[in-house]
Amino acid sequence: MNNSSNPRSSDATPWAPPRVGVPVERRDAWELAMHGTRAGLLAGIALGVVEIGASTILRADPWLPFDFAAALIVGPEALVPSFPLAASLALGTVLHVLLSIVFGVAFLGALALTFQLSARPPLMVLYGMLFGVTVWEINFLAVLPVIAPELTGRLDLSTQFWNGILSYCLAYGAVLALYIIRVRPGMLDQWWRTDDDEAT
Amino acid sequence: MTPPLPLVELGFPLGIRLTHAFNLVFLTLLVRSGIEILGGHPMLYFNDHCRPGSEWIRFTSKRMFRNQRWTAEDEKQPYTPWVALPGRDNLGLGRFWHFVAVVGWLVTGVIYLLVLTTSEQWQRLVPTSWDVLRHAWEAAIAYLRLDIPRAGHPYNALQQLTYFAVVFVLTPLQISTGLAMSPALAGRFPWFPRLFGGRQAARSVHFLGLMAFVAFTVHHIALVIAHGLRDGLAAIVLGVEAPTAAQQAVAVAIALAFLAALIVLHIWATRRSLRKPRAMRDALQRIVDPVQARLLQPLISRQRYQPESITADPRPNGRPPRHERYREFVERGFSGWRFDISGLVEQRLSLSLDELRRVEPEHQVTLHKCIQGWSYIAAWQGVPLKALLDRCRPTPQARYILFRTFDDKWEEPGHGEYYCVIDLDLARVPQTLLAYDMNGQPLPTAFGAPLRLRLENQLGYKMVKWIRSMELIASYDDIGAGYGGWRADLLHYSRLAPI
Repeated sequence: MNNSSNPRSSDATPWAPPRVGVPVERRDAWELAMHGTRAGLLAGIALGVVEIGASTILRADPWLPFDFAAALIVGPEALVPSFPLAASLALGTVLHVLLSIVFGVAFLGALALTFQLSARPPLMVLYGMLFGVTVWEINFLAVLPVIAPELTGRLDLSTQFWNGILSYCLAYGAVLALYIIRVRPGMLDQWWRTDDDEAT
Repeated sequence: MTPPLPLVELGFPLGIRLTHAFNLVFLTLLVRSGIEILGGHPMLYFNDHCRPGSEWIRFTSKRMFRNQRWTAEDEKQPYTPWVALPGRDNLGLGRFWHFVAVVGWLVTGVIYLLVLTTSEQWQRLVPTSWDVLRHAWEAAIAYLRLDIPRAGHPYNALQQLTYFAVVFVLTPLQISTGLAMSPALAGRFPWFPRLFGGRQAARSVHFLGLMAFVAFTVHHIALVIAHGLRDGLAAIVLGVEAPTAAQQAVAVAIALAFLAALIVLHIWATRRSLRKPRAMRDALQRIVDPVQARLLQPLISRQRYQPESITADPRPNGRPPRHERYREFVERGFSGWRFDISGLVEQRLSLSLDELRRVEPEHQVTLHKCIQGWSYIAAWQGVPLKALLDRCRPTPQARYILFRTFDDKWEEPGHGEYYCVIDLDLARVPQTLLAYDMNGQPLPTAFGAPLRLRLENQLGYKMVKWIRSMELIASYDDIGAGYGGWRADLLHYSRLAPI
C-alpha cells in the first residue's frame, strides 16, 4: 500500500479551504413547487388510469373512482346511480388533480428538507413507493373516516388492495420518483459518481 | 393446568403506565440526539472503508472535492435545533444527550420488563399460540378494509405481534447495533460487529431501527386515535378500561399536560445546551462517564484485520499544523525532531525518530473509528507505549499521560494547541502504540507525521497526531480548561472515548 498514490494522503495534493464542499443540492421554493406540481400531475394521471382500469376489471364500473372522489365533496349521494355522471367526472377530476399536485409538492418538499433530492435512483424509487403508501394511509385511514365516515365500509378488500394500496404505491409513488430521477429538480451533482466513474 | 386470567381484565398497572410515559420521554431524546450525531458524518454505508460515493444514503447538501484534499471535519452537516438536540454542530453534547437517554431508556426498559414478567401483563405481548399468525392476518385484512378488527385479549393479534416485535426484536437490535459501534467492545470482541456485517452496517441498521421506531410511533398513535382516543388515553393514563366521560376528560387533560411538559423539556434541553454548554455537559457527564468508565473503558482491543482489507484511500481528519517549527521539520524530513518524555518519571527521555525506530516495533492492522461515524482499516507500525514507560519509569504519583502536539488548530484560532490526556492504565495495554509508519510507509503529514498515538479501544480523537512530547502527570485539572483534552475543553467531547 503506497500512501503517495492516494490523493487524500499525498502531500502534493492541495488542501481545500476548511468547511467547504461542492453543493449537490439547492433549495429553490419556486423550482420545487413547479416540479412538484408537474410530478404530482403526472403521477395523478398514472394513478387515475390505473384506478379506472382496476375498477373496470374488478367492478365493471370505470367511473367508481370519480364517484368516490365526488362523494368526498357532496356526500354519499354521489354514489347513487341517479347522480349525474358529468358532475361526478368534473368533481372527481378536480379533487383528484388538486390532491395529486398537493401531495407531489409535499413529496418534493420532504425530499428537499431531508437532503434527498440527490438520492440514488433505487432509493428514490423506494421513497416514492413508501410515499404512495403513506398518501393512501392519510387519505383512507386518517382523512376519509373523519370527513366521510359513511364511505369507509363501501369498498371490498380486492378493490381497496388493487385500486388503493397497490395503485398508490406502484402508480402514484413510483411515477413521482421516476419524474424526479429523470428531471432531478434541485440536484446539482451526482455525488455517488467517483473519480473512477468520471474517468470512464 | 390453570387457565390464564381473562386478559381483558389485565388493565394497565401503574408500573406499565409510568414506563410508557418515560419511554416516550427517552425515545424522543434519543431520536433528536441521534439526528445530531448523524450530522457529524451525515452518510451511511454498508462497508467499513467509507469511500466517498460508496454511501447508500446521505443527509447533506454537499460532496467533497475530488481534486483537492479535505478532512472529515469539512463533511459535517449542522442540523437545526428544531430537529436535532442540541443542533448547530454540537456532536459532543449530542452524544452526551444520547447516552444519558440510553441509560434512562434502559432503566425504563428493565423496570417495564420486570412489571411485565412478574405479573400477568406478559400475556399482553407474548403470543402463546401459532393461531396468532392467522388472527394477525385477519386483523390486517380488517384494517385494509378500513374496519376496526375485533378486540383481542386485550390487543388484537396484529397489535400483539407488533408490540412483541418492537419490545423483543427492535429494541434489542437497537441496543446491540449501538454497542457494536463501540471501539472498546468491537476491539475486545471483533466478531460482535461482524454479526451485523461490520461497524458501518451496524451504524446503518441502527439508523434504520430509529426510522422503524419513528414509523411505529406514528402508526401507534394513528391507530390509538382510530380505536378511540379518549378510551385509549383513559386506559394508559388512569388505568381505567371502561371510563366515564369525566374520567376521559381527566385523562385527556393529563395527557395534554404531559405532552406540554415534554415539549418544555426539549426546549429547555436545547436552549440550555446551546447557551450554557459547559454546565450542561458537566451535568450529563456525571451520568455518562461512570457508566462507560466501568463497562467499556477497561476492555482491551484484540482486533486483527488482514492486510488485504486495508482501505485504499482513508479519510484524514484535521489539517496539518501551520506551526513554524513543524513546517521546518517537514521540510527537513523530521531531521532534528525529538520526542520528549518528562513529568512524573524517574528518567526523562528525549528520543529522535531514528531512536524510536530502533525500539522493538509492533505492527497491527486495525479499524480506525472516528467519533463522527466513519472508519477505515490501516496497518500501523510503531513503538509500544509500554516499552517507553518501562524506560522512563513513572513515579507512583503518575496517573495520566499528557500528549502535546504541534497542532496549532489554525482553523479555530484562539483556543491553544491540541493536547490530549489518557489514563496511564490505557498506555500499558497491547495495541497502544506511538505509530511512525502507516500502511508500510512513513506516516503522511495528513495522518500525523512524524508520530501519532494509536489506542485501538478508543475513538479516533484520542489518538493524537503530530506529537511533540509526552508528560506523566497526577492530574489534568490545571491543563487547558481541565477536561483532559482540546476537544473535551472546546467541543464538549468526553475525556473517555470507548463508545
